[in-house]
Amino acid sequence: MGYIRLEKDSDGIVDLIFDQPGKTVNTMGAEYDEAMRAAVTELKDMVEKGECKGIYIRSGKPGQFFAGGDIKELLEMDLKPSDEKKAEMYNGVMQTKAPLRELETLGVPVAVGINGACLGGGFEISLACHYRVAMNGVQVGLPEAMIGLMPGAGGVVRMTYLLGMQEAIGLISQGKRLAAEKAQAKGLIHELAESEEELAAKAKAWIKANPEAKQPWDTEGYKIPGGYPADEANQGLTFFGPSNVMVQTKNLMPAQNAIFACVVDCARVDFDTAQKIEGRYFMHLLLNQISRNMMTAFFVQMEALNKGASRPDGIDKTSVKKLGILGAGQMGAGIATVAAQKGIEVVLKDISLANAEKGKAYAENFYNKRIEKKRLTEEAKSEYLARIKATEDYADMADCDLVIEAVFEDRKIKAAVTKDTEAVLKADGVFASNTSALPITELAEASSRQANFIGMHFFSPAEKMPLVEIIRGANTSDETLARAFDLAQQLGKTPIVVNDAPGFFTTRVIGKTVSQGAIMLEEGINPVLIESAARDNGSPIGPLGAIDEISQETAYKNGQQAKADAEAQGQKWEDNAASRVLDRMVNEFGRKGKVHGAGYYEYPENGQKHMWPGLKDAFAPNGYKEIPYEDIKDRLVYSQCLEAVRAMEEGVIENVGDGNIGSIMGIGFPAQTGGVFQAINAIGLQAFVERAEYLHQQYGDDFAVPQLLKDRAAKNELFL
Amino acid sequence: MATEAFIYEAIRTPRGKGKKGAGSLYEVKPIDLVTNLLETLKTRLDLDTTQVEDFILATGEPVGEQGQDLAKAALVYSSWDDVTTGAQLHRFCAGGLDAVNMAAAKVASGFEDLVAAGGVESMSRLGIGASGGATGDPWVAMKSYFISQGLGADMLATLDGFTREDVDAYAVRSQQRAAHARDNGYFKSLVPVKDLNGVTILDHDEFIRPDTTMEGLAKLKPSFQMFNDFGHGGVAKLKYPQLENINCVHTPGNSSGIVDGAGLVLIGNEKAGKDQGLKPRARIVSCALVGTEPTIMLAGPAPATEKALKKAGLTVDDIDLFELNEAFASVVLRYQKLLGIPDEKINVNGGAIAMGHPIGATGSMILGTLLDELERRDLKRGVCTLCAGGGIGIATVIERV
Repeated sequence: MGYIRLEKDSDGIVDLIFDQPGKTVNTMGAEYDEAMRAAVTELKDMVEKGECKGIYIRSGKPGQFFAGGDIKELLEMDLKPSDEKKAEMYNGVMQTKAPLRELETLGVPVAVGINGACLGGGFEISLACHYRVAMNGVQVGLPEAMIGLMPGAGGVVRMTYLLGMQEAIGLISQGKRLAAEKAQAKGLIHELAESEEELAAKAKAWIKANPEAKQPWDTEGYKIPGGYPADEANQGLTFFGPSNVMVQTKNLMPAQNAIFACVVDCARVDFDTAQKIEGRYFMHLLLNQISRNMMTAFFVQMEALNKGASRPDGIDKTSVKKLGILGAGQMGAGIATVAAQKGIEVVLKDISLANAEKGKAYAENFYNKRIEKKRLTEEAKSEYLARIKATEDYADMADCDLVIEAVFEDRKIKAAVTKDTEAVLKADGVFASNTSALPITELAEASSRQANFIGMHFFSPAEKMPLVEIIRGANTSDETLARAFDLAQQLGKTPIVVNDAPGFFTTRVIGKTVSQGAIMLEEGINPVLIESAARDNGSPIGPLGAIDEISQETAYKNGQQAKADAEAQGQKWEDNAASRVLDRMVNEFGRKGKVHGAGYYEYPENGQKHMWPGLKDAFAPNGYKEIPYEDIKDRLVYSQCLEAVRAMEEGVIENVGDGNIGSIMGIGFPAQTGGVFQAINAIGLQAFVERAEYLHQQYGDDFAVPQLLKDRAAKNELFL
Repeated sequence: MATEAFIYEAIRTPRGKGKKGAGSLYEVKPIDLVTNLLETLKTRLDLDTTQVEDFILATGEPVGEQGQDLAKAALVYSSWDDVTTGAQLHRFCAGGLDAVNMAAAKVASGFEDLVAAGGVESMSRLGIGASGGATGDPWVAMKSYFISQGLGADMLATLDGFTREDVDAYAVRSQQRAAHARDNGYFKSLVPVKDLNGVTILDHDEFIRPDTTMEGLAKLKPSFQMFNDFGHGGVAKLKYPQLENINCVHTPGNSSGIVDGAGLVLIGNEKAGKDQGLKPRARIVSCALVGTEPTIMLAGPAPATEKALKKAGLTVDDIDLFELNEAFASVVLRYQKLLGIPDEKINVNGGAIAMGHPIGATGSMILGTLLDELERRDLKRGVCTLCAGGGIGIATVIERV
């Protein structure tokens, strides 16, 4: 059976049916190319002979239309091909486009029935059809930019011609997926249907009624909506647009640059010339390391993660009906907020009912904001709030499937709530400790059912942050791990799985870049450069700004807590740059963080935050220490990559994808690198080691190269 | 240098306000600004134009009535002999002076003996950006970290620590000096613009505002804040990580004015002058061009000056007067700071903040201003210099003979 079947009905309308053999969804790759070329050639012949009155394009897979480009195929391409190979690649790109152009100019009406998600390549095919009918609720769009790519099969050109530059840039560069109803409002979908039968009926009715159908851009005198780049009305877009792209992406995302430029370039020339231009930008991204990084992390590894690569095999999918949460502070309340939205009954407990109610009010406040933004209805809010039971009574935890404790990071309190909960919790209930650093195996000692004890590290604010780091203690069972994993997915979060060790994975990795910030500040490096370096690396916030957000006071207290904790365990504790700097900020300068109105930054009431000038007197009284800017940048990134490798060496993290996704989604590691491990691949293992050795020599042991990395570099064994 | 290149004459039109309907020169076509000068030069020197081999003319907006080869068009339209050829030149704000330097290079190389050079700009008729430009293309802009030029001036001020008061104080001085020079007739090179009947349209620089005060200037809003806020500031910071924020200090009061005008300079070797009985006013000692960091764009004059001085075997101390185009006040303040030039030696008769900056013409105009003043004070050497688009810096060292 081939990829494409052609079936003619009694009215002379030919169904073109995509049904890629051996795949659950259709993809656009070499197989598609060959099949599509042959199919269009055959259709052309039929049209010439008068044997085809119209074409109806659909999928042969129920509920699945077309998934997009074959990313794995793209990733296998050589990144630095020879000039001949490049010319060949470009021809290939143009050959993929060609049948779609032929299809829309065959002289017979072409309609498509979109019966399922229609993204990327699938939507590009749809855009080459004269009439698009979609099932209610299906997602359509061109999300390529989210994985560092852009549409390359005419999608940019057709979107630009159809919607105009401004709209095309917005939709494509943000990789927007639209529900069919919204897409219809924008003119991307013509008609909606309830069922596959209705899809076909509506599409075919339209075909019969419109024998002379043409694409808008093939009609005489067609003008692109919103006008052309040279028009006065578009000067704002073309003059400020590029700088906005650069500022938003720190100029680190080549796809967004290419998409903006391509849309404008395409609007300057005729339709067929625009296709050539689109092909060149598309290929430019195919040959770009950053695009590779993003395809690797956000497509391949993300897909594997979502499919449960780190979930134990052989355990049926579980779901939590009732979730217990201990501690109704920001974290507990944040988790409750999401859980209620996802249809889970929530018991939110704190030491007093009043405190628990405060947590519930946090959820209400969040929903109210969504209502203001018209993202939520009053009815839905009432429904969600009805699911949250605020309580001060442990007895309410009894029939919870899973309980998450989100109390203070204090072993004694955590131990107490563990015992109190287990006293009432049903026998197979899972107890999850939400901690960012305390070892799970040790916390589990308070438990009488250690197999059911696990760590679930949510990130703050939990209602927004997309990651959950699941920590498996020494005695945690596979079943418990699977149940925690499933709950994370049920909450709409991406779970990564790590083994137990202080700081687990994410906290110890981000700790390195934060402490580099403090070390550099203490060395007397200009704090503005430290923060700019983080920005220029692609971090959402600098190491100093991050502490301001957490507040110096909290960070200081956490440090004191960790110190007390270590000393109580009989471990030695040594001061370090981070603790010294925090001590001075809190105790000497009284700059306790943003919430207190002063941290590393000043927060003027009517102005932008800016660095506190006193930092210079405090840490560089004799003038700033000058080191190369590239060193500042690399210290912030290499310290994290090296720590991640150490975590892998110690067995804390096993799956590279978990490390990459966890670092980007949990702790803001620069997305364009593809994550903390892929960043090393992208630089090149040997080059990374050499650079790290230089940094080690210059800036200390945080940059010592772990043996695992040396070994892998020697064999050029990438982190995949 | 193989042959000496002498300046035989340097003249200019007055600068009219570059505003549609309000500037006195708005009614005048760019070609007429040029031919006014061509005819004056011919008459004043009793010039045998058959001996002038080429005419290089700069403009900042080479489109429409300033398009194609305005130099040759103006020659054909004028009474000059057909044998003189012409070429259009674009080097952003450096064009007018570059035309002079190229003419000097032709003469110095011995390829040509007598060459006219100049520039013209009717900013009232062809506003900034009228001719478009490749830098505005999105892909190009992103690859080249393109930002508004004025924001580059604000970056200079921020990096060097010049305050709003510093740049405003400079602007007040420029106004006072320009007014004083105009009122005392120091601008000998100025030639009135006349209509086709010989009636004078404008005979003085009309942009000067001698009553400018610090208080008045302080009320003006920063011109480039909007560019900063709309993304250009963010791009600037990607290039300059030490910049936390840009202090937008430049306003219409301390930036160069928008005006119309033209300049014309006659360059030749010794023999060409002698043959026509012309007396050289000065010689071109050296010229230099330099490219500097393009996002900040305006930092070229100091390195260009250093390069020109080095080529001439001179130092800053050998120069009696400096004429630096006042594109923005911070450009001058930085130049003074870097080269250690006292206020008494630079822009002594004001500059573009007071009188305006007709983009492609300015270089050829201020060369004459400098020469007039060297003669008036009976001094020897001067440097004429400008910053220009893309980070270009240009400088010319002249010496009276």
